[in-house]
Amino acid sequence: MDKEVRTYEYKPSKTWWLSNRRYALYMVRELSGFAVALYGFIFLAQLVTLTQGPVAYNALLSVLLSPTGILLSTILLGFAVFHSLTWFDLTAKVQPPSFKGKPVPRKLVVTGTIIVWLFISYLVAVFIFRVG
Amino acid sequence: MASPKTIKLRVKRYLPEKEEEPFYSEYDVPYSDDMVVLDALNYIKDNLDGSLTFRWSCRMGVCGSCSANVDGKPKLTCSSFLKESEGNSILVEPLSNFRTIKDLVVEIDIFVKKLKSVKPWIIRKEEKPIEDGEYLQTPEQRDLIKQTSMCINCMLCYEACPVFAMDNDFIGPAAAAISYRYVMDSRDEGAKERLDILTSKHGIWDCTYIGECSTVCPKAVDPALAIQKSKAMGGISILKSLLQKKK
Repeated sequence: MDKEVRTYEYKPSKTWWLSNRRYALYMVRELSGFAVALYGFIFLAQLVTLTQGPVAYNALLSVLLSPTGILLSTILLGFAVFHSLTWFDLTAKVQPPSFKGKPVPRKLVVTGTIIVWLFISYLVAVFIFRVG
Repeated sequence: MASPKTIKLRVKRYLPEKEEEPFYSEYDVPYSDDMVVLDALNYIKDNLDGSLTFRWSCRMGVCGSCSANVDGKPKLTCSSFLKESEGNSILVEPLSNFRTIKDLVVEIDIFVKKLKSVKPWIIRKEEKPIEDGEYLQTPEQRDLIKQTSMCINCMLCYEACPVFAMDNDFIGPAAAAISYRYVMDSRDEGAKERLDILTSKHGIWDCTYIGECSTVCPKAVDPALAIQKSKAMGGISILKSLLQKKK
């Protein structure tokens, strides 16, 4: 009869994600998802207060324009930019486009998407400031 | 004559018949620039400590047997040169995402089960008679499966995958990449069966695309990419099934 084989199971440490740069960046990317969600929530809150009239909207605006509000927005913007950049990087890897049967270099795809992203952001900014 | 260079190998040991917990043994090994970690392990086994246990076979990066963590990185010991080590010592440890049986030998049943689950063979709805000849393939069709066909089942991608480390039920990189290889094979007709398996619980949706599996692959397979493409195909397959049910 076969004897039961005793085996040893290693348990990953709580800091496993610090052992490798790629793991650490991955964790930051996942974390940045919360920041992006919070960023979206603030915009949503602005829309809601806008429907409630100028008093409610201006009250929220004064909170957002306070030093704490600006600091929070800056931190959230940093996370959102990081999230977007890593997302473009991944997108290029998942679906490498080809041109005339030859693969397009990944760096070119990433740079191209970032340029398009910046251009669209510029158009949005122009639109907002003109309207403003 | 100058004495040969020596390097210190620090090996993580586990001897279940003697010790409850793993421990480290250190060995001084004479080496030359053309020696790899596996050569050093064999030197130890032959000359210093016959009890040291490890798997190996081809010595040329084809069989996938000699996987271990070399200086904390998942590698084939037959492809890791001693001269590439930083300092004058090398740390060799077993794959930590699998249960250790003894020293560097790990239990691989869990991986073999996953591999078998994706049916890594050509599935035909109806086999044609032998006298009708082989199932032919054009070079272009062959190119589609060439990269994923290079997988040698060394399990290094499972070692590099934090999702698998947290949840052993996850189908994992190699099984998914091999499944993709057969789904894309022009001779195969089992795409639906495989995608049903891949898109079920503990399947490819658990992959959060860290990409480390592709980084450590010694055969330049890109399991991370294969999984993302399988997700796209799996999504379309689920959608088709839902639409067909409605009709």
